[in-house]
Amino acid sequence: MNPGDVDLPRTFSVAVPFLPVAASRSMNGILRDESLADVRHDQLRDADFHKMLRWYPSAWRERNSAAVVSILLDQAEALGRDRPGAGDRLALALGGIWERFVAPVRLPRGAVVALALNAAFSVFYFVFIAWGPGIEFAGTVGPFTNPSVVAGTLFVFALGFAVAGRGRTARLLSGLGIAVVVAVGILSQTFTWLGPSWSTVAIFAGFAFFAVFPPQSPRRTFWTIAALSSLVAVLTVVPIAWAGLIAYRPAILAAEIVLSAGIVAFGVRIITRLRTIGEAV
Amino acid sequence: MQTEMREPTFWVLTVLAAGRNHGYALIAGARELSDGRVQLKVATLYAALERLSGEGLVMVDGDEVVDGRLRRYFRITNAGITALTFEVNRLEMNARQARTRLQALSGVTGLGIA
Repeated sequence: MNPGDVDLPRTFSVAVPFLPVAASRSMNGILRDESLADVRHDQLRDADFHKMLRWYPSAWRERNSAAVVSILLDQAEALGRDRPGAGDRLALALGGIWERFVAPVRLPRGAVVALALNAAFSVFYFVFIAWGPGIEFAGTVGPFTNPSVVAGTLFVFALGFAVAGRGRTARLLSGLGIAVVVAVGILSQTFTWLGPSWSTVAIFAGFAFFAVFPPQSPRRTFWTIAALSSLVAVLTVVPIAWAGLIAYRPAILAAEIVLSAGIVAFGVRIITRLRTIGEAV
Repeated sequence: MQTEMREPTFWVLTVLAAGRNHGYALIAGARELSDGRVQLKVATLYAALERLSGEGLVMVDGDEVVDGRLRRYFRITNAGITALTFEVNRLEMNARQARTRLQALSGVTGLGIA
């Protein structure tokens, strides 16, 4: 043993997640005579194995990559290989995609509320705004006046998956829904379809974006959902009240005032509840 | 009602029933105990371990570095032992039923079924 060398045990517990293979081996004195070329080779090999985990989400990699790469290296050595096998590469790619988009994970409560509001708005939009059987016009889809029904269906399914604990699938569907509703919005404005308007696109995409990228701060969560809910309230309550005024039928007007009050009360209740949730987070 | 256990889950819990172990040893153990029939991929193993940890059937039992490589140890929990016992009983009952009928069949056809 040379002066200054430290006789470390071969096995010891660590607090750090990963030690580079070549460095720690040299530290143990096991491979002291290993040439720099060998060390470089080991580093490149380790990097190649780490690259195989790029399919996985970053949080998963932070948690598991060191332990998983160690198993892959052990396996490769046992089989006399220098590179990961094709089977392992494929399995890790599929595993990463599954982990990224399908594996069960609970969304934050704020994101689930956003998805619920988006699904509710989707149903409202299709029943009271986009429902128009018999209308023949550019952009109509079946009984609906425009194809944003596709995005709305994705948002309703996204809520279902979120409630079932499949948060990643819910986020994937929400992301697809955003792409669809924005594309339909652009086509609608370009070819003068019967909707959706930009405000409708903003509501759909806003809630869905919130579900895909939930804000980290409770305060931002509260104000984002409050702003989107207010937009929904304005777009639903005002036309109903206005229609009642135009019709000037006291009974209908009274019913609509009650309905509008109910919608506003529901919105206030949600916002109050969100504030409670935000404070609890 | 408890559902049928998937094969990787069964073998992971079976290997861990003998004591705490790390990933590479779990793969080797599953291969050995199944006579080479089950070759767990690392991706499959970690998907199973993550799920089993979430369900409380196994738990992480420390990290160790051996020759510069991180080894994460897992151990089976009491809930895991209960789940494995349930699965073993289910498999034994199925096997017993099948064997009884096969023995009856061998009596009729003269087939030699051990």
